[in-house]
Amino acid sequence: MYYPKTDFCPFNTDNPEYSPSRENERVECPIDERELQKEMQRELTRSDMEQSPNHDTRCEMMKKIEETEFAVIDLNLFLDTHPDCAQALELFAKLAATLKSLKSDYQARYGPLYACESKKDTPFQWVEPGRKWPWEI
Amino acid sequence: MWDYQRKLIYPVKIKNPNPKLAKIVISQYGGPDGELAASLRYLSQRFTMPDEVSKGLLTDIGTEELAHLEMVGTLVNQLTRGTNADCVKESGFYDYFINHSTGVYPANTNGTPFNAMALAVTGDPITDLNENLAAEQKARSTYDNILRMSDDPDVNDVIKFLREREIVHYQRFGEALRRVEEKLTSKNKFYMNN
Repeated sequence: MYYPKTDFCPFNTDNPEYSPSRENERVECPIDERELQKEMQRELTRSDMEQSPNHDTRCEMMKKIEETEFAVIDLNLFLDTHPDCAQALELFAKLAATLKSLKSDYQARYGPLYACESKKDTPFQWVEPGRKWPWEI
Repeated sequence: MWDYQRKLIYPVKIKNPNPKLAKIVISQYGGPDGELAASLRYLSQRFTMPDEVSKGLLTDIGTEELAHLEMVGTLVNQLTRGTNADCVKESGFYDYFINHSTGVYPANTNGTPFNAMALAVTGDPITDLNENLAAEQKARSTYDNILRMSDDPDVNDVIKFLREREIVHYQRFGEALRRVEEKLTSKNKFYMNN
């Protein structure tokens, strides 16, 4: 009959037979980069934005942010359990950079996504009237 | 710590108010297999994980669940927007309405408030990771049931997104569990903390 020891001991995780390479046996990057590239091609040009700085452009910019951020989040989880997948890491880095520039474009036009990205002058831009909160759209 | 972003992780735009549906959806806000329980479960369990992979994964999935919580809260808010007394009476939303009006309160469909008994933090990585695999499947089942009851395409689009994330999280937790198990020595031959 098995009884647990009375003393608590943490898990013993230094298995001498463990080899990190086994973790990458079934590695397959979850996002098809070619499919993604096609999506990224339909980037908004600056003239598009200047011609129609309206609701549609704003929605489309936000959609690109959402799509890119989704890919970044999903790759982040994938990389957590597949830290040696170079293909996923390369794509992750590329998309994270794209996301950063998409957000900075969006914030320059439509106001801050982060409180600390608000303009220096008062009234505090974060709570400026007329800007909707995410649940109000 | 966390930074708040003034956007949703996935867009929620509900055209037609439907308090009856709000009462079903609220379960994924404060119910036993909802997003609040999920985020608290993972963000609490991560402190005692034995390896970097599990610590990182629990942090990242726990964070994503907070963004999902905001989505479900938005669903409930938009489904109860501009509703009137007659609509509340007819829809069966009235028992929720008496205490909360159209406020978003963490409770399940039959009104039971959120309870941390819905989650476990045992400090044992094998136990906790197995709990998480079950939690992801329970949330997936609840989303399946919401899809069986809902005929609003705007709501279903959001629910389908959330349902799919449960499946991805299940996959990642499975990989983390396998990794923890592989790292155990022969002393832990039954995957027990002994």
